[in-house]
Amino acid sequence: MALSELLFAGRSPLLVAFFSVGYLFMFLPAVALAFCLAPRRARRMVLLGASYVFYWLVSGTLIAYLLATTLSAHYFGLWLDRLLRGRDEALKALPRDQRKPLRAQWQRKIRGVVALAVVLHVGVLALVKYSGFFLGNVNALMEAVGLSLRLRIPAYLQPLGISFFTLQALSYILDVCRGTQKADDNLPRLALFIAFFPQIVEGPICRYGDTAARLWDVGPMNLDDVKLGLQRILYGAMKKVVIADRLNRMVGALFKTPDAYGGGFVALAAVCYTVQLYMDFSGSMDAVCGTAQMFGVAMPENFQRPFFARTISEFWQRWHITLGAWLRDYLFYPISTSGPMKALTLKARKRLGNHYGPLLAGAAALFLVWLCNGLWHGAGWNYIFFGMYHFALILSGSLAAPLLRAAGDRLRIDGERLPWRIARTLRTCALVVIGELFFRAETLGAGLHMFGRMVSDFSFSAKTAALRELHFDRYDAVIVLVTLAIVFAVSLVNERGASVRAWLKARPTAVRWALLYALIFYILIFGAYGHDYDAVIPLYANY
Amino acid sequence: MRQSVKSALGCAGFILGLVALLALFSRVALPKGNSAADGMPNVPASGIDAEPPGTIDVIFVGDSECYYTFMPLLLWREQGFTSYVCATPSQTLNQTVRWLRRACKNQSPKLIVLETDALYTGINYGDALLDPVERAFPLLEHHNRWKDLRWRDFWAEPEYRHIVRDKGYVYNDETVAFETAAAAEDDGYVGRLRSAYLRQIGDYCREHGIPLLLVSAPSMVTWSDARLVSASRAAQSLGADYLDLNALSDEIGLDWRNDTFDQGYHLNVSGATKATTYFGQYLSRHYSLPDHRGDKAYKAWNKAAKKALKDAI
Repeated sequence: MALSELLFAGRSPLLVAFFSVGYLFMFLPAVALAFCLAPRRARRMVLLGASYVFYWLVSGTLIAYLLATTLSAHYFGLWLDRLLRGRDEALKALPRDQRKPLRAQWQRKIRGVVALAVVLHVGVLALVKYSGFFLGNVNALMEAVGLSLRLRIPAYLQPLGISFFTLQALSYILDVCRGTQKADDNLPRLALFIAFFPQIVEGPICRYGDTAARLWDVGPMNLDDVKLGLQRILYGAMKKVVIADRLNRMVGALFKTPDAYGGGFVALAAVCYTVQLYMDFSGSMDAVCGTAQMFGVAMPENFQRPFFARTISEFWQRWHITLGAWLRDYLFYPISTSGPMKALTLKARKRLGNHYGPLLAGAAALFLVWLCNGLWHGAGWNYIFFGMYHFALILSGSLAAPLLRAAGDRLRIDGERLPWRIARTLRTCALVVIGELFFRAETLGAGLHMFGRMVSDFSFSAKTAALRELHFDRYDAVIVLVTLAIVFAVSLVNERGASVRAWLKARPTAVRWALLYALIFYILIFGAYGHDYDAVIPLYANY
Repeated sequence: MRQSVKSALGCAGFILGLVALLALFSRVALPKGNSAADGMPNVPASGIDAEPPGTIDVIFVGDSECYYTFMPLLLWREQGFTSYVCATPSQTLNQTVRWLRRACKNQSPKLIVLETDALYTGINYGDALLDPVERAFPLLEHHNRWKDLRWRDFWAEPEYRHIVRDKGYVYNDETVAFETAAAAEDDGYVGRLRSAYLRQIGDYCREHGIPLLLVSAPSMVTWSDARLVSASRAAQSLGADYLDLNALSDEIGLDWRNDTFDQGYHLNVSGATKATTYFGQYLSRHYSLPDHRGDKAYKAWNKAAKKALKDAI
């Protein structure tokens, strides 16, 4: 037996399922116990140790990528810090009117180091995640032009969470470069920030300035935090185990063999997948935030009731918030406010006016953001299409905004009245569902085919055998709808600025206990687990 | 009262309430009969609960390799001893331990036969932790019965009376020939957890004075030399006998073009008949098993065998 096998390397991939017995009743209690027993200064090391044990159990020797990313971020951060201090000292020694050429020289050095860091980190990610896709397309192109040469496509094992921890490490390096974050010479603190076990596999993508100190200076566990954390985990379990996992087999069957079903079923597949994805991802985020809260650490939120959005732009400010913020801060703003783009905006404003002028530079930056957003999710043309679809929607929304406003004024339509708000919300939901159809489809071609069938053959016809493959009966439909109604009610209360958790905390003990028991048994009775169901790894754990 | 004591009492009270409610809901969720209509899962294996106490001589445990290979009614007709196949789809060794205990609750078998495919079905530590909890609180296993609950589930006691005619054997008469060699690719490694459950099975048999026999049912897909080696080592460590029916395919007279319904993975009824006949002779030669043929107390077996084997062969 290899040493790595002896040490349980990669033996527990199901630990990434936050609602599994292994995570909830073995790993998390063990970490909590070790945390409580540890002296104050050792608690942070307990979290760090637990994070590496978690990653080792889940991904085995691929932990090398995580360690390499951490060391790289640490030393690049120190290098940049040295360069920035060197630059400041050199500039201080010169009179003000002589600083410009020296500043430019130093900036070139700093940009060179940043470029090296970005190329290294993104390069590893690209190699591991995208080389197969890229080389496959090169081979297809060569075949199309009649060349016999074929490139060998390497197969790399993809470390879990690489898309998340790479972006997190890069954000640290870029913040040091911008001067918004001082380089940290405390390697374990940076290591804990990158590897913290609840968020390493699915995010949220944290910022060093917001999270690192909170993690490092973590205090003792207190009962209130543990109770609130567990409540949040329970709520997430309801979303994932009752709704998302219940829809999984039906969605899988509909996307695998869409031709066995009428176009109405295709539409149903898209809707159900969107619901599954939201419940799965937001449910997992509840587990992440709940776990962190148990240790007294606040994680940034990744969802703000996205299906209440009235425009696609607003939707993306409410969905996977930390990824959107990362792309905005490290891609969109640097591109759209760069020298060439500012010059372009100035020229465009003179010709196209104050609304359409800036849109040109914005569109270029937005295009890159959405290309990266699509590709970040996966190596496939359907993901690129997904990104471009949302780019087109957001851009067309911005282009049409003045016309729609004028039309609204002319027709005396008050867009803030409830029927219009509902109509805009439903329209946004429909557009999102169409995008998710392509996102989930096995290939872009399959997605286009499914969309075509949905539009041209909207029926609910299907053979009996095909219907049996859905493993979904009217009882399942009732439970999904009832649970969605519960989630909707809670979301509506939160959208109005109230807090269901604060309300619950203020209730008498008997009421709190009754509601908690109801939630626990709702999950235990109606959860999609056990021998009738397949275990479902969190969907975003694959990215 | 100090806040910490209050909090501890509060937590303890909450957990006690949870346990009480789990017990209550479990009473309701537990199937009140052992038929499919009662919501009992694994109906063929669950028929063991309805067999008259002390009447089963041999208990088979394992997965689909077991329930597609061994025909208790053919063993009865040809050798005269009774048997029951308590095998379930992808049965893991922790489940085998539970089935063994369940089968031996009302039976006193003279032999336990463990089909070895279960040695290679992975178990994770979460499943191992959940095992005793599921046993104590059947709600976790039967929670999906909420779709089929009836009034009697709320007040009746379980009564298992549904007799399964084929005694756990699952009949399949289709033929899909084996085509290419696709033996199991693993190295036959039996992990720590599975080894621990194997030891539990061995200890149980030893404590109750029941001989244990490990057998590998014929399969062109789930078998390999590596598994042969590790299965014989496992049997040795338990002090149990081991029989590899794969090595005896020619003696048994198996024809992999006609004796399988899924390209060599499992035997169909033709293959199962041959394998069972051979195995029955082996058991009669090596173990002191009674012959109940002619015993009026077992006339139900005659009736069942007449009907089932007429349908099967």
